[in-house]
Amino acid sequence: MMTLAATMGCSQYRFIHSLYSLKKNSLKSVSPLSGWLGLLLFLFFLSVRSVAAETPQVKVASINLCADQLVLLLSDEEQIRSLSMLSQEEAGSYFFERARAYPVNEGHAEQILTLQPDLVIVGQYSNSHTVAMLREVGLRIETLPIANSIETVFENIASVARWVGHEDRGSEVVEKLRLRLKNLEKPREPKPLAAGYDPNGYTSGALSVRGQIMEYAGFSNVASLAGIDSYGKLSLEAIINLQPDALIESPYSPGTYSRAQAMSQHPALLAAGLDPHVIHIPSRMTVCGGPWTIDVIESLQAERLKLMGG
Amino acid sequence: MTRSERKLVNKVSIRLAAGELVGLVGPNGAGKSTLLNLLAGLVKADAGTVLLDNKNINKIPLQQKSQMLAWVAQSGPVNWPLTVERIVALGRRPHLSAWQRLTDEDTAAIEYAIAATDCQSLRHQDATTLSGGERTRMLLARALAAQPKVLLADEPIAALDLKHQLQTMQLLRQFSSGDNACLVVLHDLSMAYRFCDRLYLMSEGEMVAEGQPSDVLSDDNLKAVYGVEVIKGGGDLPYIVPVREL
Amino acid sequence: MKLSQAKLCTLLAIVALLLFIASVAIGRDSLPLLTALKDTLNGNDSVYAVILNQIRLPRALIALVAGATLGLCGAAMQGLLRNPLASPGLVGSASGAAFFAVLVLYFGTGMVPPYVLPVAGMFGALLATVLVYVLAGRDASVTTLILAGVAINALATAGMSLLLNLAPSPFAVRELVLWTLGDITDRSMNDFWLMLPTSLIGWAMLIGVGGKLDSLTLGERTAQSMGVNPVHLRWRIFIAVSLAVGAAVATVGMIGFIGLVVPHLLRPYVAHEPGRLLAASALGGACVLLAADIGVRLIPTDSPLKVGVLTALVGAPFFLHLIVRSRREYL
Repeated sequence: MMTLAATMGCSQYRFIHSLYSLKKNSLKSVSPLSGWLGLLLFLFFLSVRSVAAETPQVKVASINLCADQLVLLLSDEEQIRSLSMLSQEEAGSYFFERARAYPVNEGHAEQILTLQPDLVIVGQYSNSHTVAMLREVGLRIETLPIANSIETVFENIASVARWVGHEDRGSEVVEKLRLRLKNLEKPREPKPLAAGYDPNGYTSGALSVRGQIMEYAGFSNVASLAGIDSYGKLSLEAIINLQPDALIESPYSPGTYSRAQAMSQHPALLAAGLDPHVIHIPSRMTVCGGPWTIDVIESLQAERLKLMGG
Repeated sequence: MTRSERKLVNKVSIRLAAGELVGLVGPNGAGKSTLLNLLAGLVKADAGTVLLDNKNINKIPLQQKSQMLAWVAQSGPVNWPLTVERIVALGRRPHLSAWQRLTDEDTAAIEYAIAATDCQSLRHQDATTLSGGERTRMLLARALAAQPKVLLADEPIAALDLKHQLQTMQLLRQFSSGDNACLVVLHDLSMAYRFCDRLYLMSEGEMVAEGQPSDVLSDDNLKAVYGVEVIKGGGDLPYIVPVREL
Repeated sequence: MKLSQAKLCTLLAIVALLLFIASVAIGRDSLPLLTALKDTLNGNDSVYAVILNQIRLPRALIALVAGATLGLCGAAMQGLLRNPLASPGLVGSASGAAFFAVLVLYFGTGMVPPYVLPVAGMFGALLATVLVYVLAGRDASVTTLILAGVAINALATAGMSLLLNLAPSPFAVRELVLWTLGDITDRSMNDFWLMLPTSLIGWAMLIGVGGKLDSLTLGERTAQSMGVNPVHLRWRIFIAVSLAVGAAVATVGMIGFIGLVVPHLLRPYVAHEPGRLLAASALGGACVLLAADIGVRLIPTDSPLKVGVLTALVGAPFFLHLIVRSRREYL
């Protein structure tokens, strides 16, 4: 299981490669907690599989990336009729490798219909025509809301578990995640100031999963100071004014010169004497919410401790 | 068929009787074209009426009016590269409903119009490539193809060569017989003198003179309106040549 | 080049019919057509029958109607404005429809019944037309009308940009943008029945304008002397285009270049006569949109290609080619 790579820079900015390149030796770089989670999940799947096989199973198809991952997390292999094409994308899908075992769809009604699923999970922003069409031909449709808080992530896990007929699994996962959240070390003051930084200066505020991750990990969020609640644009001026200690980026396109990296070298920032640390989180852990969200919090917390210690 | 007119441009009254070829002359900007537009019912007068066959022209249904009256612009655009033949055939539109095909009668009218304006050699040519004079002839042919009772032509010979000037004036002369009548705006006073039954002389929106060409084109009138001194002569073939500015 | 109107239209109609059949037969995934057809005829509600009747049939029907609308309205606008660069989008109704559809997507996604989207789009198209009327006035010249249309277009585009700008999440932005690209995927028979009446009214209003457009070749004044009321004609075409294009855009989003390129392409085959062009261009538009919609299903792309993107992609270079060629001919 992967966590995140981070940069520790003093006068000179150094960028440790994103985890995409660390994949091969990822075992060495796992954080202990997330390793535990993986093991737990594994055991947990082993234990429930035999029970579930006896009850009639809901055949499920998903046309939404975030639903794909929760379906992979919570249902049995035989239940899954199809996942969305994005589920196999390394950049966006946490379970991209596992997803490669299943047929994928492009989100067309026709493809879904031929699979004859009992349930189709769609996203809040799935093509409305397709959703209407599927509903019209009499398929059971469930809509997965966009998670804008850790709490909604938990709710979504519970919902998907209920839809696919494994409510118990859902509550078990959520319970464990809640416990981990509770066991997080209480952040000490002063909290380092960080900014979520996406291409073109987009950032996430307190009313978003990304924002809450930062809060739980013990960072204060530049977005809140800049008056951004959920999702908005952080100007260069705001960054210079607010002087964040760290930029947390999670770019979707791997291997490219990252925006946060470019940003940290902007002449204006250099002139202002700012040299924020750039913390990199693989986008597959931030695009959707799930158990890995808690991994991110834990790793960010470790980053904070390193930052303050250093 | 009578066509009468009251109080136009600026208290202008004009009258066109069946069988008449009437010329409208005057210097540039006198209001001749505007008067012609008013008479064709293309623009509405602020005051006064145009009577066509004793009916207010604006009360006659458009299609019916366009069957009786044709108007030829001084120079019109041709927006699509249609053949000359097709443009002339457009003249039959007022007589056809939306879906009707051309009848033999229509074709005959088109053929006559093409022949009368000497357009045979142009008939398959792209109308957008014509010279100014050729275009004038084509537009006149289109109007003739409509077989109107009244023809209003704005400077139809201004762009023509000598032969076609003569041909066109003879054509208009020939057209203006029986029930038909034609009002033609002319700059060539010799032609106006020679071919027209009556003339109207306009200046600055007002009608200065009307009547027989010999009366209207008097030395005094020409001096007053055009501001030039002219030589006149010819007897049977009258001519007017400007000599000098006053 | 020398084809009689009847022959040309028959030819285009046959092509349209073949493309229609192909559109029903071809999908991203193959469908046992015979079984599907048999099931349909036997009233058997099998998956194949459902795919055939409720997914592929409406898709092909909508492509047919929307394509015909775009071709027809493009030809009508070019004839009215006597300009080969005119497009149906000029009247402002397309962007009005798009704006209102995007508005529905923005505020009511997932919450409102599916028919609200096309209905809102058509309302937007009508509203845009009314605004153009109010702006331009009853006796407006063509130039004033176009300017009013451009102003409404600008306003609607600004509105859409504002919605994109204020969109609550990147997902919302993505959905709004994708909708405007133009797509016929997964439209239902309901969508078809919703767009059909308005489209038909628009088409019906254009019946019989051919001769008037022919007369317009010689300019508005001459056309007027030939019995055409230019003001009536202008509004008739404007309203017809608004209705038909509004219905099309509300159902399939913005599909560019068909209204521009198809009339241009067919003009030489109808001896450049704007009247004859109408029917030919309607059939040609239907052919092009059906073909493009088959194309997006056959071209293997990771993310499904939107048909509006394909028409623009093919249309723009083609249009450039036409311009370069005409420059060589006329200059």
